[in-house]
Amino acid sequence: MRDPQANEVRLTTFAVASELTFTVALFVLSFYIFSQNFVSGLMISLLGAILPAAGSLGILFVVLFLLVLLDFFYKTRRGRRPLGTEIGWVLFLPSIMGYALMDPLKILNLPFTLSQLQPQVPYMLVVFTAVLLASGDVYFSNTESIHALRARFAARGALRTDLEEAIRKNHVFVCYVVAATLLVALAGGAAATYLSGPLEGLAAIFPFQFVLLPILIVLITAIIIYMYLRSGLAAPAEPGLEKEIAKMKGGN
Amino acid sequence: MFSSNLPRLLWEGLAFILVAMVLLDPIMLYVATVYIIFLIFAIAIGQPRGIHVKRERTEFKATVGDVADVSTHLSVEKGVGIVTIADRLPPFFKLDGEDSDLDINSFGNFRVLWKGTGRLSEDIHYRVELTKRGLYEIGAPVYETIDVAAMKQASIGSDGQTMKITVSSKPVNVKSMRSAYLRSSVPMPLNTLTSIGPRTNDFLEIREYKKGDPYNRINWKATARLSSCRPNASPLLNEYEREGKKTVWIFLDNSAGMRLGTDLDNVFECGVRATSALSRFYLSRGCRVGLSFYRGGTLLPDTGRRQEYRIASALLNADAASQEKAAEKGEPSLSYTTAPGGDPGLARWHYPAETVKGTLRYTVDSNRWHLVGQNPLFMVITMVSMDNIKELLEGIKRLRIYSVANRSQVIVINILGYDLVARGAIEEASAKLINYSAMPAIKALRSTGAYIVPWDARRESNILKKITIAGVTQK
Repeated sequence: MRDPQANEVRLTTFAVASELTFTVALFVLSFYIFSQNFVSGLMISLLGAILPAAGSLGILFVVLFLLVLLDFFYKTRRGRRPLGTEIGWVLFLPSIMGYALMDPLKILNLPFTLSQLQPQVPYMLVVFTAVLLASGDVYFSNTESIHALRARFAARGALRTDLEEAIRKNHVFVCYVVAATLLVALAGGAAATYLSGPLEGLAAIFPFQFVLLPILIVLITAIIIYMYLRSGLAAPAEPGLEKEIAKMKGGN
Repeated sequence: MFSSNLPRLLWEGLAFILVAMVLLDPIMLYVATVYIIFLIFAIAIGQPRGIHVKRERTEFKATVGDVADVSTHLSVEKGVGIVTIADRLPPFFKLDGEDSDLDINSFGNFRVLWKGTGRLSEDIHYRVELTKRGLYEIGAPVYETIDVAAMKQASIGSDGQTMKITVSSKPVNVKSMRSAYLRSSVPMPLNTLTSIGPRTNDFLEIREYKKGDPYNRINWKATARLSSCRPNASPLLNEYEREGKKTVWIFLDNSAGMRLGTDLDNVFECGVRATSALSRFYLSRGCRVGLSFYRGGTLLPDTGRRQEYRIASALLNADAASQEKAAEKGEPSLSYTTAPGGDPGLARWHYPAETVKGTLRYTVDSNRWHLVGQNPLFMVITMVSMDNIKELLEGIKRLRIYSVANRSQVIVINILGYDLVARGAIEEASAKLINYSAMPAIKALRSTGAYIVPWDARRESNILKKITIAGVTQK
């Protein structure tokens, strides 16, 4: 017979390891890009009054890192989503803005422009971090729903042996899906970078990547949703389902 | 339909697309692409489907206390995700191993399984302890499927057959008592002249049809003649001489007062056990056994296995009236009262003064045409108290009226209900006091010539042994 305690340990170990790896990677990369940003320089100069100028960035890193770890262990123990990705986004978002081709600050003739926010790191690293952060967001939203599912089934009296195994395998499968998403997105990013040279002339005339690509994505999404809704409506009713559901609702 | 997870990710992705289009930001576009690609994957991976559930057994017959094995085979053909399967158990069923920390991990009526990329084929077993008699049905197994990313709402359905479980009372082993010092025995009915036993071909008389009489004995010619002068008259029936078989008529009290105790172990359940044991005993000795419930429902006396089966079926579905139902039907309901500031353990059930339906007298009156001219052994199974003594005395009086004068045998099996429910020394002492307070009622019953057999079902499981030891025939 499968040992439920062993399954539970395996699930916990796998879940904590994968979630912690994701959280740490996201935070470290976001902070690194943040540290190479104009905003971080501004922040260090502001913190200079209370912290030594040389180590202020290190102190900020340590404080934030400890905060992220504490939050991670506190939240995951309760089956809730940690704040790692949100902190990562806060650190990373100014850097993304730096790559915007449309600069409203410049149009308004303000002393700062968005292009000043560009970090001093390779472009592909920024793309990788952005894609990783988005994947992390997707991954954590899924793990949160998996934890909720596990709690719901446990409350309904599911066998621990089955439950831990099913949840662990679901967790692993979600990891595969997120990894596949990450790979496809990175491959798309690399292809876009490779093609940016030949298509530069065309892009100067018509910014197709910001018009055609989003429209294409929205169209694909709409088609998928439409097909799914149609399949859901056309699905034949399960035999005896209504009766059983009515029984369950009636409590008899 | 989508779950709440999908719109959240969808809006985040679309928000990034919008910002990317406004600011012409390529990195925002990559970010939006991640959300959309994930959604495409999550939706494209289908929910588990093609579910087939098959039960190994669709019928199960057992006695109270037995354990039933429920085995189901589940197969899922397509999709990836979590599949749950559950059986909705009837009340009074207890999962075997529920109290054990170890066994609970291997038995359960609710299972959560993972359906990977391959075909899922799983045998599901669990055991339930059958704690109360009755006819039960475990419905078709209900399954629930959840996709990998929980983007769609869980799909709930049911497949497979229902399982019918028949739980009968535990049979009491009837054994002959071979003791040189034991002079008493289980009482047998006295012989009668012609009113009992299988019918012969010798014509006896023509009488009016009464409820329960077989149709094939209706004398149609005589009925037609009678109807010419009395159009609304009952049909007439040919009555034949009977062979001299002995008859036992059991009256089982199923009024609300018999619900004393828990749902699983109460006075009425003891009454059912006693009825089952007594009917089997007398049927096995070639007697004709009839059964009548206080609140209606009569099985006319008959012999053999078929009668045994009919009595068992009647007992399977029998239940004592609840106070509410009794009140709805206008039957005698009981009131539970305690003296002001008194011990709740000494509270008593009170019958109202005017009781008609749902009493022994009513039952006897209802069956009077089947009793007239016979001399059966009457067995009344009830809980005697000062509250129902009046109607019991009236009922016994009626039994004497309808049976052969001065020769009727009446045995009242008095189930000591308070002893059954008492827990602890104080409650047991209280129960003894309540039993003592019923002594005048017992004396009044004895004065009618009835034999009273007090039965503490918790201590003495075998009612036949109790009747034997009580020395009924020696009185």
